[in-house]
Amino acid sequence: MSRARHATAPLLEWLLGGVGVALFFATIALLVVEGLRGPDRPGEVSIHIEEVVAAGHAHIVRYRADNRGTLTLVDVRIVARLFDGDVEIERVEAGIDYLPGRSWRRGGFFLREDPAMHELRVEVMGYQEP
Amino acid sequence: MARAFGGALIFSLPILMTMETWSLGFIMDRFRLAVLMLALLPALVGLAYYSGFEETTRLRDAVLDAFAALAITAVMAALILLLFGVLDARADLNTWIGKVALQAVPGSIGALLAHSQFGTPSDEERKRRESGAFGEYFFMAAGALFLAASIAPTDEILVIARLMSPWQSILLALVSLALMHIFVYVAGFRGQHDAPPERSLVAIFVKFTVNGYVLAFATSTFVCWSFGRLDGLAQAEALQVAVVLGFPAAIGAAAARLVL
Repeated sequence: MSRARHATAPLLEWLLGGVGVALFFATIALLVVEGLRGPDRPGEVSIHIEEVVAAGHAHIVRYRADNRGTLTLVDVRIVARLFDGDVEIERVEAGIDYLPGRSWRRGGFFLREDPAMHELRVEVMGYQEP
Repeated sequence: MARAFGGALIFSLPILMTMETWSLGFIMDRFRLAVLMLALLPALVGLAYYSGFEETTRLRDAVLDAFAALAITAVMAALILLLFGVLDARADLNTWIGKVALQAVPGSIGALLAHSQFGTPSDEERKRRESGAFGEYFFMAAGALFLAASIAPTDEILVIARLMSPWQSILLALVSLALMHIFVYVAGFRGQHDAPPERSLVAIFVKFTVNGYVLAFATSTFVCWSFGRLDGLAQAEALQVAVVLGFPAAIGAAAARLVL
């Protein structure tokens, strides 16, 4: 190990090393803080209808699924049902592959009937824990 | 530095472009992810000590190089994932950590190896000879960690374990063991080890190959555990998953002995 190398090379290396130290320990600290938050709250998914867009012969119901729990969910099943009075006239299911805790995902349903003319109910049916 | 960036990219590209790794960072238990990161650090320092960015001889330089490799990998992974649209610039801190942290394992090993593969070898030759048996085991563990951590995120590990019968698992363990020995002593790769003449073939097989497989298997089990691959499995099934991941871990360990 020559002294010359130490004199010329190290500034960038020290800088990068410093960034690495900061990133590494900040990550570990954050993970531990997250881990100490206690047991995961199970999935608490709510669906908000954002808009209904006509597309050809179909109507696209765009929704946003919010997971207020801390647990990451996979294969979240959602169902949209159209009612004419008490009679269910259309039923469409959709799924979200993966919905992390405290996060949201957007998606859409294709409905043949116009939701504006009927009563639309959207519900979460279930999910799997990874 | 460009070499380190390139090394990080080459080694982490397979998992950068594997969907499971984008979500695994969240799904993984926080403590286990922290433990995996903490286990990575000594592996990196050791790699930097024995090969590394520069002809490092002092531990302090090795520590510095290890952290520099982590920094380069984190920046590289974040940039590539942003470019892919996998990472949203407005995402919260947890998302960033979840998506980038896992890439650090193969990426930072690659950043450090980039030197030993493409750099000047003069000083390493001297260094390697001094490393002794401890150094050998150390390289093997690092090689096993690299390949195991690159492959463990995929669902295929569980699928393969499910498809295999217990007899096939035993056979796979034996094949892993045989391949390790062939890689290091028989196949004639550059860096092949000559069997020490004063020892019998059985002694060499037990001392380096069997011990090496035990090390690779232990690394595989640790990686499986940290990724939650063993959760909810009965002992026999968990063992089978560890044997399946032990296969790439063993190959990684053997290759590391040749490379480093």
